[in-house]
Amino acid sequence: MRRLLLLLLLAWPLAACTAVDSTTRVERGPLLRTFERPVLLEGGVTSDVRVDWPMLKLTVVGYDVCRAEQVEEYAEEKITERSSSAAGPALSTGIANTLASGVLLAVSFLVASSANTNVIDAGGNYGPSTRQYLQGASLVTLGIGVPALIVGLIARARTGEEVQAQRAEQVVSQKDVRCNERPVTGPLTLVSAQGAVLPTQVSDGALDLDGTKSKLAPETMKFAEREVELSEDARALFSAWSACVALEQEAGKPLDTLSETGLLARAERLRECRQVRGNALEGAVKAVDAELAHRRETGSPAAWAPGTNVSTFEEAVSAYAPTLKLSANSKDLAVLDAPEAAEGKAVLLEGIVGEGLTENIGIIQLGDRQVFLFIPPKRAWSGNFPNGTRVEAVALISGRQTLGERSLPLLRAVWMRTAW
Amino acid sequence: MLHRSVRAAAFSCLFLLSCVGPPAPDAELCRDVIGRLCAQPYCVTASTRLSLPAEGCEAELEARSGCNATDFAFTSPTRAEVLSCRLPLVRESDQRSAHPSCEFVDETLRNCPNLVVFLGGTP
Repeated sequence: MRRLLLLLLLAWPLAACTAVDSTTRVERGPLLRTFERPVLLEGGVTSDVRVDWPMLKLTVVGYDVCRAEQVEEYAEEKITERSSSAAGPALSTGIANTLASGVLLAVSFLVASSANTNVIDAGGNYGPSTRQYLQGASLVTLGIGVPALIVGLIARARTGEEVQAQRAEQVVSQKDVRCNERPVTGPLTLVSAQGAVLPTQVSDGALDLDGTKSKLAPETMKFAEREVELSEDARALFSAWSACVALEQEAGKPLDTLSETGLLARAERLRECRQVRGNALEGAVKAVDAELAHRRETGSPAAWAPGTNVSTFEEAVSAYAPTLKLSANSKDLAVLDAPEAAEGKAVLLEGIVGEGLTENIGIIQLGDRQVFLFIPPKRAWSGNFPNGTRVEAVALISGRQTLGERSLPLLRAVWMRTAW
Repeated sequence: MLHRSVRAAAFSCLFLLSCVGPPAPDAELCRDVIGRLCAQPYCVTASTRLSLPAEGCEAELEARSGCNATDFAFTSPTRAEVLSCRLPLVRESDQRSAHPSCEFVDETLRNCPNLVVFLGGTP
């Protein structure tokens, strides 16, 4: 037992000298079979939508996804090849040296064993005999041969090919279908575009909502934190009902108090809501169209609310603090090259009234340049400004306006008076 | 356990002894020293100090020292002293037929008056 342990202790460090390279490859064999594997996946929540204004009737159902996987099963061989580049040289060196050692030892018994008396060294000893020389050489070659032989044998034992047969599967196709549809019961949350939420409760898949009593216009629905999926038609109906709810909520706001954006939004809601309320909204649609047409001509009264708060030209200068002066030969005229970039900027205008294009828009001549000047209908100043009148005004740059064939910078007057 | 130690020792000795032979007897060691001192041509110092004869140098010195006897053994100087004094003589070669340089012969005779006296010379 001890000898075995000693041998292991000697062989262990030598095993470390035997670097073994390992490569593994997989070889696919023949197709064994093809089968279909059913897989049940987590599905979602969907809803059917019906609208009978003001009622929204939802039928909420949960479902799973049943996946049918087409699977091909192959035979496969996993082949691990281990090789050592040191095995061959070490083994040949070991065999050669061990054999040489044996030969030297054998021959040593055939030669003279008497010491070399022609030599006496510094220690007073005769020179070694030929047998001693040969046995010494035998020991040296044995010292080289045996470790090399062990290294070679270990490397040889660790090299080779290992084949492991196994089966491999490959999914070649899959098909998902909805399955296990069932009505759900639980909390359903209506979420508005602004993020406001209205919690409700679905019972046995059914939920009825009264649009006249709803506190928000929902955009999406969530059932138990999962978004309720809607078909294209269902989504269109839901959006239409939601638009009707929004119209109900803002019914108290007169059209002339709406901003242009608000007016356009209302027009859009009316268009959507007509899908569920039909001709009941015809009057409201016409009113909005008329207001929009009117504003195209006269501009938005709501946009002039600040201007109505000043009562003199000086107050307008003080309140708006114009930083640019637009007059003939003024360097600031360059701002008119890109009026969109300076939108909302206050200017002091000095020019000559040109032709009046509409009731509220006229052309002002600034040297060789022209601008449209919008005069709000609810203005706080009075007076007539016939063609050729020299005027000065505090105004706000409002982009560019196209009227007929003319496209000019548009300025909205805050206060205007005759000058010079 | 002892058996295993002896075997290991024998294995080690075998390796070490493969480089050297058995110890030379004192008489042979004495003749080796005389042979190196009597190698022709004589070195001047050796010739003078040891009063070497023109012929029969080795026989003369063996007779003076007594190492022509087969059972000769060093007493004074001892074997160890002789080996130490002999070191310059074998510095170039330990072949018994080699002629040492006179420089090394001088060194031996200068450093080892006991050996000179032992060989019948004048220190």
